[in-house]
Amino acid sequence: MSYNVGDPPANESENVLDERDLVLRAQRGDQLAFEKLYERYNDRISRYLIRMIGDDGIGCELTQETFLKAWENLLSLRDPARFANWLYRIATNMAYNYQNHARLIRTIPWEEYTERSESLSISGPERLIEETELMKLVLARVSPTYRPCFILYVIEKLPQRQIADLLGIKLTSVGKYVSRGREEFRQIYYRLTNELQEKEGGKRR
Amino acid sequence: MKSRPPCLEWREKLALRHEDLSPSEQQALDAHVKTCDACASALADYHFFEARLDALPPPSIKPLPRLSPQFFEQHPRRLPQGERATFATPARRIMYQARESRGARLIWRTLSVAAVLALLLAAMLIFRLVSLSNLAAHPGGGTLLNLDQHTGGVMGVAWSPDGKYIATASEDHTVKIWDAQSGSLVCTYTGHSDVVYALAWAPQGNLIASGGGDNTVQIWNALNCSPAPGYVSHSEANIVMSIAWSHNGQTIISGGWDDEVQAWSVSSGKLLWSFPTGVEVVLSVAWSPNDSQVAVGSWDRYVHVLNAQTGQQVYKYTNGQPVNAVSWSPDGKYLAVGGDNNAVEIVNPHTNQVLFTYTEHTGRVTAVAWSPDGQEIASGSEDKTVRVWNPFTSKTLMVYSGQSQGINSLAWSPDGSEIVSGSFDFTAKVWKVTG
Repeated sequence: MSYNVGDPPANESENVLDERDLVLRAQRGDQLAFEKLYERYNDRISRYLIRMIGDDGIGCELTQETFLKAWENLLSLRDPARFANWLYRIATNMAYNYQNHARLIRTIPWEEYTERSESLSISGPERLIEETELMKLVLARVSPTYRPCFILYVIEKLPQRQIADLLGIKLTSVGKYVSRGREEFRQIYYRLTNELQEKEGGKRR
Repeated sequence: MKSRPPCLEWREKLALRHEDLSPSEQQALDAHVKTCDACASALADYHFFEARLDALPPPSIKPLPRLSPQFFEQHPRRLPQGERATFATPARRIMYQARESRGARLIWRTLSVAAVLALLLAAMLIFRLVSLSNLAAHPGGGTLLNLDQHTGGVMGVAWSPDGKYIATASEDHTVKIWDAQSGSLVCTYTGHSDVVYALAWAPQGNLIASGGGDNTVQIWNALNCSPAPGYVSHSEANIVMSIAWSHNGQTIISGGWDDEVQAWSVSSGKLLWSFPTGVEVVLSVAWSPNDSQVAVGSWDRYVHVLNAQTGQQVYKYTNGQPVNAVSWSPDGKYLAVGGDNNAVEIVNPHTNQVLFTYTEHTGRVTAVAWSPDGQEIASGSEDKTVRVWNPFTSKTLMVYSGQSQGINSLAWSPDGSEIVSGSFDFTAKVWKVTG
């Protein structure tokens, strides 16, 4: 089964055929066809990677890397109808590899965040920025096992079957991973906000 | 602020969108949420966080709307042999045609081979230099076996008591048994329907207990990977992350996501006692050498030491960080505790003293094991290394860095001469302990 995870097409079956054709042409070296595929998936993949990593700049860089890898290895894609699934798989691996190399979870500077947040403790636009950063930080700390499912279900609002197919996991695992991701997110959020409050309390004392 | 977890049986339904549930499930969930404060609170939180995530501003940096003109020039792709191609630029066609001519093809091939050889030589030289510098600092052992037939991360490893076999549990839903001498695959156990996170070899005989994401602990025959007659699968309410078999072979302790550690009889499957651990995950359980106590390492940031007969807590230790791994010293005097603080602490649970803290890892410590003679500790980490060190001086004896992803698990061979380590890189590697 294949999915078009780009903007909804006017006619889905036509779009699937069109995409299969684009992939076949790109596999034969047609750069314009690959550019079309890039335009179709660029936004989705970058949004997914930015949420996976928690950093806009790195997410964009990894998007480029994802398409580079896709271009270089396009001939290894045996079923052109599964291009989207294949692309998401590459993007997910990119995110995992990046985090394994950079150990992002460990190096996201919580201390820096709390220090910054002290200077942003007044209400107003700064508060919004602080909350946004906190959400990104919590998201980046959700276990890598559950994060892709969590992002695709909760943020991207994709159906479970599509997520299972994109990530190559069982349909029954999607619900489990989403529930564990949601609960992890919740626990991490409370843990971090508690730490922040304790730190602020300590400073005041 | 405190957050109570939702009821286990409703956790998955609470997390799904209303439209993803059947009408009867929706009704049942709504009725339950009206009467359960914990689930109502969790549901409200889930909605709140989802709304907040939906409201995240668009990225401040946008990806390029189109591929840069240099993209294809800088990253040429090899075309399939014998296939006719279309080309976006005349230059690429000329290049392709030039490569197709016989003379040019010979030159091209010679140059390619020469370039590959030069790169290989350079890589070997660099690798050798790095190895030599590592060896100078900490002599490391060479890889003896590369157990690489899993298609997912290796989450658990165990050596058979006689040292002849190695078992590896994986994200690919299987457990594999390997010949510890040759590295050949003996058999594959496929009884699990989800990720296998933990396994333990029976101290006597050839039975293995394995557990994981399908919420079961299964006991099976290690020599042919088939169900062991007379043993029933032990079901838990949630994912099983850790298993330990008592030294007398009679009892198994299992822990994971189901908010409690359970001790149950191997022969009857009967629950002997359970110890509540709250919302946090239990990643490690270990029997003391004389089976009188059990150490439980939990993400609630504590090591709980329990009376193995009653399940009553006799001691608890915290360093303020989630605990990923615990291991008893062979004399039962000390515990090695590895956690999210990238460190391993040597704790005396009888006097509540921390003897040493080993701080050489640069990532979360995910596995810890004391050597059979008690003279060394091996610790594995997300920093992709296993370090072998002296528990009484904290001196590093060797660093094994043969795996390309974080370490999940490790085990000493019964004679203490080798270690098997499992990693997210889909492999388990057997290597010699030196130094």
